[in-house]
Amino acid sequence: MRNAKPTGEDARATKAMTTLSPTASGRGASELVIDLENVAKTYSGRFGRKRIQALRGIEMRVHRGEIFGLLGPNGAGKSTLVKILMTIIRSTTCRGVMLGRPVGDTGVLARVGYLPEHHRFPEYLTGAQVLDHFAAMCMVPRAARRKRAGELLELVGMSAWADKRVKSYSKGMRQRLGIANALTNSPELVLLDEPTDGVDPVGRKDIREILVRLRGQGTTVFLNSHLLSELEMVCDRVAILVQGVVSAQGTMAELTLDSRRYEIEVIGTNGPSGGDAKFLPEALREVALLPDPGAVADSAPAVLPAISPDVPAGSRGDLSGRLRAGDIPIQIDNNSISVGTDDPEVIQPLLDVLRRKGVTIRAVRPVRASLEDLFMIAVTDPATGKARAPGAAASTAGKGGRA
Amino acid sequence: MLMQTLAIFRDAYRELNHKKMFWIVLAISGLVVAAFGAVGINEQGLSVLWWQIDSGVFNTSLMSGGMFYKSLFAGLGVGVWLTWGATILAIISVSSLIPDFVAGGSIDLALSRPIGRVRLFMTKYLAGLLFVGLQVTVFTVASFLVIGIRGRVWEPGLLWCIPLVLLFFSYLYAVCALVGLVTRSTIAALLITMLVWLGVFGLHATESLFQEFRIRDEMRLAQLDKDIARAGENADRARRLENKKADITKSSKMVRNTHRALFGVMTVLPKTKETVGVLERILVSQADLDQLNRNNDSVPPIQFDPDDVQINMRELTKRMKQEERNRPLWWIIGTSVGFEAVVLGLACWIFAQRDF
Repeated sequence: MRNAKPTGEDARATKAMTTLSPTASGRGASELVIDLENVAKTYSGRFGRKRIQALRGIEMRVHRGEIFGLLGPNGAGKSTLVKILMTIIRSTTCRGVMLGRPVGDTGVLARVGYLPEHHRFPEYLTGAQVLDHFAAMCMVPRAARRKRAGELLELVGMSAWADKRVKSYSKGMRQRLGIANALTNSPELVLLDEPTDGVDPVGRKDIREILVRLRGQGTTVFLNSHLLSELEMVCDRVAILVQGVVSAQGTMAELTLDSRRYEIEVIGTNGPSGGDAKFLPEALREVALLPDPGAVADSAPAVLPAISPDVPAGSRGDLSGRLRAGDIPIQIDNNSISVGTDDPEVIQPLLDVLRRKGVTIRAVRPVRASLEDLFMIAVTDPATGKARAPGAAASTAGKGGRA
Repeated sequence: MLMQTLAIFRDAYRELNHKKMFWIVLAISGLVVAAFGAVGINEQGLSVLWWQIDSGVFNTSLMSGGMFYKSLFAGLGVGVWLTWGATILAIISVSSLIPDFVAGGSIDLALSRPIGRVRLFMTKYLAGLLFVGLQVTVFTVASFLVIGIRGRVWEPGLLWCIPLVLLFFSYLYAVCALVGLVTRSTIAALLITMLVWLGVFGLHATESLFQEFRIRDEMRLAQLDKDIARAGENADRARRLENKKADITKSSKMVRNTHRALFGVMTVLPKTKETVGVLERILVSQADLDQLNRNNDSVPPIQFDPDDVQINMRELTKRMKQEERNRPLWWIIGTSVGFEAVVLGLACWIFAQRDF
């Protein structure tokens, strides 16, 4: 899944992975709030301009009641995808449903809340009037929308500003109002495009809490952001969009499966070679298959998954091999031993050997890749090892063609 | 459905309320209405507040009090203030509505609601007419009351001003909406609308000029026939008149063709002046006009040269007026609404197709 080339095959592979994933396979199709297949958008190149393939065969599934995060670099097509769902942009091709209705059906929007990026509310309206107006546009009855407006302004901490005009609001306050506005029709699905943009840390925490509360109420939240730490804290599932293609998709557990490992940090004061851990390979030979002493990692293939491709290969580890039991990859890097498993039982024999050899164990900790790591992998071109250029793919190919 | 429409209109009203220009125009309208109330006509002449201006011409022998007020309302109140001053200020005020509506961040909020694009655009367009709708309603009702109280003339026909001025403004606002949608620029919407309006006005003025030339030629030819018959045995004068007739006949053909072409172009364009002019038809009957002409029939005919043909300028004006009044309503309003429908149809199509 990682570093996928932006082709239709990748999109199909993404679908397969999602279908087979434990999370997805355990749910029925009826629970899908968004089910997209082959969503493409090509901006026609009029007046000699290049055609822009903003989206190239998106396959995506969002389940009811989850917080789904869509991330990607600038120009990856995140906002385009959200705008297609909200009928603001017409797709070139799209087979998909949202809340059981075909994408593009405006009727379903009564059940959807939306916070656009860089939204602009009429400045002559007060906060309460904004909510009332847009709720009326969603055909919420007057009594209900008045009650709801009060509740939502309270929820986003804007009650004191309810009767002040929007033009007097700060950016963060406008964003809070935007979130309240997205919820004004009590939606089943909320699409939030950069909801924490311009919001201070306290506000961000408040917004996270709101999202979690919404999930608790059964509302599905579709979060579009490039603030990875924000997404990581609240999202159940994420998709990474790169140059108009879903590069990776799944739960955090699924996406980080390959990167999970245990790191054992040791102090080699009692070793035969004195004050360092150079004796470690020797000590580990009882439990691990290791190359001859002196062989360095530069000449051996890396066994552990590459977590940070931008880190020079030579600094990744001194030695690598595999545990005799279970064929688990192992890597020794100065004073730390990295074992490619998330099973604590697997590392127990290793710990026993280390203690028996008189090695002081300072720490044993489970480690997995962060969302940022996954993101960096996704946006890195495997051919060059460098991050792909931002933006969509320009093409002079025929209409609807793919790069 | 109604809830959404009401919400858009309420929002438009709030936006207008927020604009200073709305209140400035309303204040000027109030002043114009107050001016109606201040001016009066009696046997001696005109009265302004408590001052009397004696006049041998402008008194009730020329026109009745009711006719005076109706002419004042149709000629100055509507013809000058509403269709020029207030309209220019209204266009300035509303030209930003569509560009602001389709601006990034704003259009996203509007389109993400369960409403069809065509209905959304059309409702927004109609809400944009609210500015002029409110202004003209306040002005007309106030004028109706002032003229009724001051001139003792209760003329419900004045209220036709509301739909007619609204219709006239809607032609211009349709162009403004289309340009605002395509360019997303308030300045472009404003300037192009003004240009279109001036273009239509210029075309109408040119058409009127050629209409006058045509009628003048017709009158001169008719008069020449009489003069030739009267010349009798004066063969020299008769020959000169025949030559003149031939010249006028030749040039009148070109004038007639040009007028016909201009009239054809006018047919496919909105008829702003004529639409408002319908109000005069409603307020001032043909009998009133004839009476006015009879009372003011002291202007002598003009003569260009000794051999030229004498025509009565009053007759010329009367015939022109008559011809304009005889133009069918379907031609004035029907073809203008047709133009508006085409412009709005194009705007709706663009709005429905565009990615925002």
